[in-house]
Amino acid sequence: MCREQLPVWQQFYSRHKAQGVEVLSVAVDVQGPEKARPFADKAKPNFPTVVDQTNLLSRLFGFKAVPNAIFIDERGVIRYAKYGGFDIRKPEFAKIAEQWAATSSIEGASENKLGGADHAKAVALFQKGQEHYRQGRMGEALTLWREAVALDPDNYVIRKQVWAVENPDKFYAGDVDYAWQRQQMDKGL
Amino acid sequence: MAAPTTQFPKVGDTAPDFTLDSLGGRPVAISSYKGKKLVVFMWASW
Repeated sequence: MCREQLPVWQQFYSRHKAQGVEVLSVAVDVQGPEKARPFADKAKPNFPTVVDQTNLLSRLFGFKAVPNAIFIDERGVIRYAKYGGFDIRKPEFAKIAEQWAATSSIEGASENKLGGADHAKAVALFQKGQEHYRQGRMGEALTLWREAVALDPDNYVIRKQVWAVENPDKFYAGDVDYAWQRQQMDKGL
Repeated sequence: MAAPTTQFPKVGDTAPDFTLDSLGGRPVAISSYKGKKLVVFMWASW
């Protein structure tokens, strides 16, 4: 569960802050800061958590899943990026983060499935839906979001946010219910 | 006519600047991290 990574990132940060490493946590969530806050409060990190409520970063960077990590050097140049599956609790990714802290360079290609013809349209539909959502027009929001999912079925950033809005009990009443998510996928929902 | 392919930032490109609000309510811009080695990690409550 990528929401459980914050304490591990905090450990990384406290070990490497003195070497000029900074960490920025981004909670991707149309439902806003209150969904992210419990996990940040629990981890009590010394780095900031910002909230992306409109899928701005998915539009800018082209990704369709989280968790992601982007490593940017002192000049502002991207040196490594992995979209989807970057879990710092796993040894292979902890190693990449440690390598970054020690040397500012990372070996190994980062292959990512980005964009696609319908990505931009799907994000635009999502953002229109978000405007309805913000003003309490849930029906209109969900109609546009479902259109976005149909257009870009591999876009799990959109699909899972729709699931979470419609089925909060499968996400926030304890652990995330992955069995339920597999059923949804089997049904094509 | 072929549709234009959108260029997404790649390794070796300058990261596009963006600003988002923190949980504390302050805006944070990527450009403010110049001179530091930055890791941006993105996660979700879902």
